[in-house]
Amino acid sequence: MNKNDFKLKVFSLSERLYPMVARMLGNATSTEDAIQDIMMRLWDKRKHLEHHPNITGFVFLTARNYCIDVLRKNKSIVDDATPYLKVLKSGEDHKDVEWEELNTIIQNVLKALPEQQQEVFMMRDIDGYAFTEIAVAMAITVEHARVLLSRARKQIGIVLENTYSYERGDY
Amino acid sequence: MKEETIKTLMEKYEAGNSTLEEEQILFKNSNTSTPKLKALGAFKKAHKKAPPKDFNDRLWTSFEGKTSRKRRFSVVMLSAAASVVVLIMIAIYSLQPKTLSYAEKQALLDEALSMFPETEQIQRAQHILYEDDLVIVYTSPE
Repeated sequence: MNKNDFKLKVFSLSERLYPMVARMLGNATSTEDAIQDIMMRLWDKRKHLEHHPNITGFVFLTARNYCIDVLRKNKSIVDDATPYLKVLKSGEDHKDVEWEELNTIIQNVLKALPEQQQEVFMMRDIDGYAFTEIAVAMAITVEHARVLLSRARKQIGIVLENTYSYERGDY
Repeated sequence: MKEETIKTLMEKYEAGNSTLEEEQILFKNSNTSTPKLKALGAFKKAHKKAPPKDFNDRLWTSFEGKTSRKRRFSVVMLSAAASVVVLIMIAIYSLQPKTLSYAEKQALLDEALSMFPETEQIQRAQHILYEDDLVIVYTSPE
């Protein structure tokens, strides 16, 4: 694989990797450095990549494993995936409290979910990845990814439904 | 968006059967939708990380610089390794015992032979009568 092929088939996925790497590592500078590092690793493996049946999948898997390694090295990995999410405040002050409460509720539900369900939910609903990309990155089947996502979404839905029912006084 | 459409899409969404496009449609107008959808939409929007503008191009420039430096470093290292190999070969060659040419060997043997003059005298005093591969018959004044 020459440099042009690499740019076309592998490097062009950098932007697609950005949401996941940024979410997992948490800041813009380290995200750029991380993607650069991931690309250097893939460049070193370009001979192997040339004959790989699923280059996109391999790139996603490499990126995810890289992030997990970095988090392990930094000892910032904990027993759930939600620390990757930071609370972002809405623009309007009067909605800040409501938003923080909502954010906390969803994060708490995510914390309570099994790790695979959390990860599939975040990869799909926050990073916006296709099922094939999620499946390859997590080394599971597409069907399994769908099932995990469905369970996570339903659980979050139930909690949100209960929260709003409580607020409406439907209890 | 019609309430019925939202309901259908929401069912697909919760079953994990919706496509990315359908999810986009579902959350596009989530602000005016049910509180649950609105909450999910706000959560997604708040946590989504988008790459900076021209991210790929900027990263590629930096990547190219790094790979070129790496290549230059490899060339320098290979050159250094080749030089070391050449120096080792020269050292091995110079340490090997020098072999003598045929003329030098002849001269050395002659010199060694000259150290035994009586051998030549004995040989001259002998008169060979018969000689083959196995036997030499000679007469001697002794």
